[in-house]
Amino acid sequence: MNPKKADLAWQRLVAAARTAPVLKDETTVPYGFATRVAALAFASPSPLPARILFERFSWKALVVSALLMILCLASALPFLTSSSSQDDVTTLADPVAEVVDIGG
Amino acid sequence: MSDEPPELDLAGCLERVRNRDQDAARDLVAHLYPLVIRIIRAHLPRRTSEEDLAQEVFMKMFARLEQYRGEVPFTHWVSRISVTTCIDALRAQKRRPELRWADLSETEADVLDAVITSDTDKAPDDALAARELIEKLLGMLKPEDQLVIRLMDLEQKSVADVSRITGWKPPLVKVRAFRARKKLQKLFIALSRKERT
Repeated sequence: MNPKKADLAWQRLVAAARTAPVLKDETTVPYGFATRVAALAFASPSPLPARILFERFSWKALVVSALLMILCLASALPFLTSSSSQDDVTTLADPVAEVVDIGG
Repeated sequence: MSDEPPELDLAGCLERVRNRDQDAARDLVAHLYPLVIRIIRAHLPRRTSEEDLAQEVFMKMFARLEQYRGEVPFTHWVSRISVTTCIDALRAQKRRPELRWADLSETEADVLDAVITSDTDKAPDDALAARELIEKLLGMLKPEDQLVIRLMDLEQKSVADVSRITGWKPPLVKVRAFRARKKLQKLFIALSRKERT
């Protein structure tokens, strides 16, 4: 069988199948179906649109990052405040500074 | 028979559904049920309850209602949800790996024999057996291929109609139909080479 014959065979088969009686043509809603589906649809909370979800997560992310920044500053504060006195000690112990100081 | 459901103030009904009015949701389901059930029956995967599949379609419809922008008629949008739900259900089923003469009933084998050997355009008489045989042949194709062949060859829909129902662009519909028919040709050739047992 070549492709053309196969195509003809398919067309004949489809033509025959189209004449088959429709076994089930009832399209009225089964009793209670619409009520059940409507109740199920509203049983779960209404899904939020993606835009609102994005907005909500953005604000949360902003709050979290601000808190992290404050935490970092708070933890680094002792180091930051003590660094100037540490610098003085380092400068005093620096021989070059001493020499420069003597020379001056 | 028209695919269009009976009259309903769709815009008003949708607005009420968005405001979580359960009566409006029930009216919407009742209004769209004939459209959805016809699509499901045309593409119903084997061993799947049509009512379960219809319920799945409506649940998806309600869940995605906020995404509906009104760019296409609402019935088209629901048709596409129905079609994709059927494709997902077909995808969940295993495809038949091979079709042999032994897999066919006596009448199906007779019909196949008639269409393969006959040189005339006369259709075989046993329409129901032809329908069953087609279901078996389509069961070997990918879900998208099954869908396009059912719509174009069995329901005689145009490329524009298939595009409207599925949401696929017309060139994609043509390409899918072409490839699906090529696969069917191969199936027929392979079957004709085998001996009837």
